[in-house]
Amino acid sequence: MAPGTSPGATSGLVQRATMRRVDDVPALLLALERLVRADSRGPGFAGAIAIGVQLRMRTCWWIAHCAGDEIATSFADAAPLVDAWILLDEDAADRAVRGAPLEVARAGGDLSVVERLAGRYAPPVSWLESRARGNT
Amino acid sequence: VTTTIATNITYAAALTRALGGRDAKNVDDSTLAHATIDAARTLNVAPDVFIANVAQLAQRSSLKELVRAQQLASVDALLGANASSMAANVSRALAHLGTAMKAFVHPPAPSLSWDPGLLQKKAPLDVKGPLAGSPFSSLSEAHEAIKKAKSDDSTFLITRTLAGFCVWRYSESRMGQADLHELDTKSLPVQSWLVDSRGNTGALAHDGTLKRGPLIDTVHGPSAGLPTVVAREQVNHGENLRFTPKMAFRPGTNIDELAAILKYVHEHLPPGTKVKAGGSLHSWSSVAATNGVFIHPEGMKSIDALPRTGGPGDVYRADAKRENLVRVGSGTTVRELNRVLWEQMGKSLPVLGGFDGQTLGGVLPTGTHGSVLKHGPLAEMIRSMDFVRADGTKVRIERPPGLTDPVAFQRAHPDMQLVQDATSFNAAIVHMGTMGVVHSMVLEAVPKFHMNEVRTVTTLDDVKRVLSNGGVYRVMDTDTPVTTSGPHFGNGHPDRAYHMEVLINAHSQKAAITTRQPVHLDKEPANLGERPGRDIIRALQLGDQFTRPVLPTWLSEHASRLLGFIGTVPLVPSTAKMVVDASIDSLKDDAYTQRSYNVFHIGDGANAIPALSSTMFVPLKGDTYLKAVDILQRTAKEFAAETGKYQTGPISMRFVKGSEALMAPGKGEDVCSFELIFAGGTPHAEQMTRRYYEALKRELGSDVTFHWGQLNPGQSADDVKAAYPGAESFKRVRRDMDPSGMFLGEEQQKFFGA
Repeated sequence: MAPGTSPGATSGLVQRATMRRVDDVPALLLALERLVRADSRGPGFAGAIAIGVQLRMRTCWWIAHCAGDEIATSFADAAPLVDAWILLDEDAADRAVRGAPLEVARAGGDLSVVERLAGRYAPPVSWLESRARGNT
Repeated sequence: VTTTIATNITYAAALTRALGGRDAKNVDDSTLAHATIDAARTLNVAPDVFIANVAQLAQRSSLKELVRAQQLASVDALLGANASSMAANVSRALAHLGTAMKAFVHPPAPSLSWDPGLLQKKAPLDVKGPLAGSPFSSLSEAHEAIKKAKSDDSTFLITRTLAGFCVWRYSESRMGQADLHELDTKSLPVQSWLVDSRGNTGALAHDGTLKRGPLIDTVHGPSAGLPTVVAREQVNHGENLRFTPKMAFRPGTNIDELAAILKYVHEHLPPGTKVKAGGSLHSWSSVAATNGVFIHPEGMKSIDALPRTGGPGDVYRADAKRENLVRVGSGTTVRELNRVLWEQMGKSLPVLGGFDGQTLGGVLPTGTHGSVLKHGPLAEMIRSMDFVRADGTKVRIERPPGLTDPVAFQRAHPDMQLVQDATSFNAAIVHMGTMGVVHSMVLEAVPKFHMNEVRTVTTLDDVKRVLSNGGVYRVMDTDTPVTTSGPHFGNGHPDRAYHMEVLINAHSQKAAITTRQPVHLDKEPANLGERPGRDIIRALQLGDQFTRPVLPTWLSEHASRLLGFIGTVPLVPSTAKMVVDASIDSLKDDAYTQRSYNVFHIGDGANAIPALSSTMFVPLKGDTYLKAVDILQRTAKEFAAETGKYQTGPISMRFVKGSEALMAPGKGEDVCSFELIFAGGTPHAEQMTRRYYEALKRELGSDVTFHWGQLNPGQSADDVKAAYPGAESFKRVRRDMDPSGMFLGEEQQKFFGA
């Protein structure tokens, strides 16, 4: 974890005021939330990751704190401090929701956390993997 | 343990609010799930985290599943009929993420050029691609690979990527052997290491220069080498503000350390990360609060006289008068500077506020002021400011023609920009921490002087009688010509006071007049330089003339918490006005002579009380400020009648010369400041402050301005625009320094954002 990061930290007036309701969150992030929420099993790895969409006036982030069996997610405008982050522009996010590959504009942090998230929530590539994930 | 208990209490209270006061035990699971989601949102935590922290919820085994289902349903409702296919698309997109990330794992090779000097022209080296095995997991592995691949016609560059240490090979065969110091490193990433064809190694320092020497294999992440400190919760003096940054740094006196920190934030942390430089946490406003990156000021302490003309390190104009100038680090406190100025340089600051514990980086850019009509806000003492901008670049800002010689400066600091421009300077001196991080400043002091203080108690009617019809210009020393004579305060007060302050009670006729006048002392008594009132025995030895009244001083030193409590006594709220009257009465003193900085200082005891305060400014012109006195008293009376609550401290009136700073109060004209003081913990302080502000604004319009370092009285972005004609120019300069808004706090974003 990067120095000073603190998953789930809540104190501070700035953070409190930046919590977003879900009704103005880009579809890509909502779909990500749905993907994760619809899966009753935990992520199976530990780490904090943020996926952001750069909008015209602000950046909206989906933040996931993964801790083995648990995953806590939230949306925020304030930039999170996490183990890894990726940022997409608005058009790329729209295209991804319609089935295009993710085109990452900027990224930072520990790539292995991104790989784990992608590996966990991407569709299984084989029957065996599917069984291993318990999604049969 | 305390934090955990506090968290549990906060969470439980949020849940009770979301349930409309009902007990969680008495509601069904579905209602409880809805309330949990709402409460978690108000506290900005994930519902799962919220549930884990509330005992009543953690026991409801099915709740987590219900919350998850409700969250899923709300997301589905927003995504519509295609929710499931969109999620499937995103899942497939994630499968391609690995491919997408490759561009970040293997970024294009940085361009590297060779500048051999006189004999040959500067030219780019040919990149031969990444070395086999890149990226390596450690710097030493990368170095080993270079050793194996080493040849006498190649230069190697190691850069830190997301995946590890990438080694690039560059060819120089047609040009001869490039030596390490001839390689141009300006465009290289912050974390780069070079190995030239002779095997010389060097690490790129944060100032862009190469540090020769062996490779160091202790790098763990891009922030390695930066002065990182543990990020802890910060609580301000008034105890009305708490925040916990996620990362914290403590840079030292070398500006390059600060530049490296900001460059790191700019290049490695997610866009939108906020940065705030802290001071002494004396401010009541959120001016320095952040839950992003916090820069601690303590390491940036320095006090240096300017170098003599033509001496080593001299970059100043030869004709600049330097005898009263001093360069101070932004982490230096006013107290530290006062002592050094007096004892080592024979100087004083010409004007000060009532407290001396703030850092200069905090007290000056917030527009803090004294009560001397010959001087504007303390920031007017600034002659030059060294900033680090949002991208980590360094800039010095001065009012033209400027103290610094541009040619000498460029020679000595080629990596630093010099801006000698009036608008930029007038924006910078009162910038509320929104333009960058100040590293150091040059201030103009004056020869040291003692002052005598006189305090008398009178009535508000008497104050108005003396001050009406421009009377403030008769009783205060000012640059404004005065042609008429009129009533004075008498009773030992000077005819025209250098400093004058009026303390009034919002709920009574009681008022105290404090005047302070420079005096000449042939010989300073021993121990006079010690802090006033710290030692009652010393105070008694020195005698009346050199000490403030002993009993109130002792009480405020030793019973400050008690005094603060008395001010908020909840049983009989109206006692508050009697306590304020009594404290005003206790101030009477016919003479107190001390070093100037000890007279400006109102006393440690008074400052130790965790008071809350908000300051509003009203012009002196046309006695507008005397109308404001009536408005404030009328509002206090109405508020007390409506709510049964009183102001739990006095109102301090001080007088400040107009300033050219774009965000200073008063639109360039002389002002009276009204500091509305409440004992710490007064629950209605903010509510009453807002009522005061609304009333003043209603009757005096945009003439009412406010103090950036104190409680926000409720001003809107439109109020700021109307009250500060220079606000648009300020925004332009600010954007140049910080295009992405890295230094804008949440409230500041509202005032100065895009």
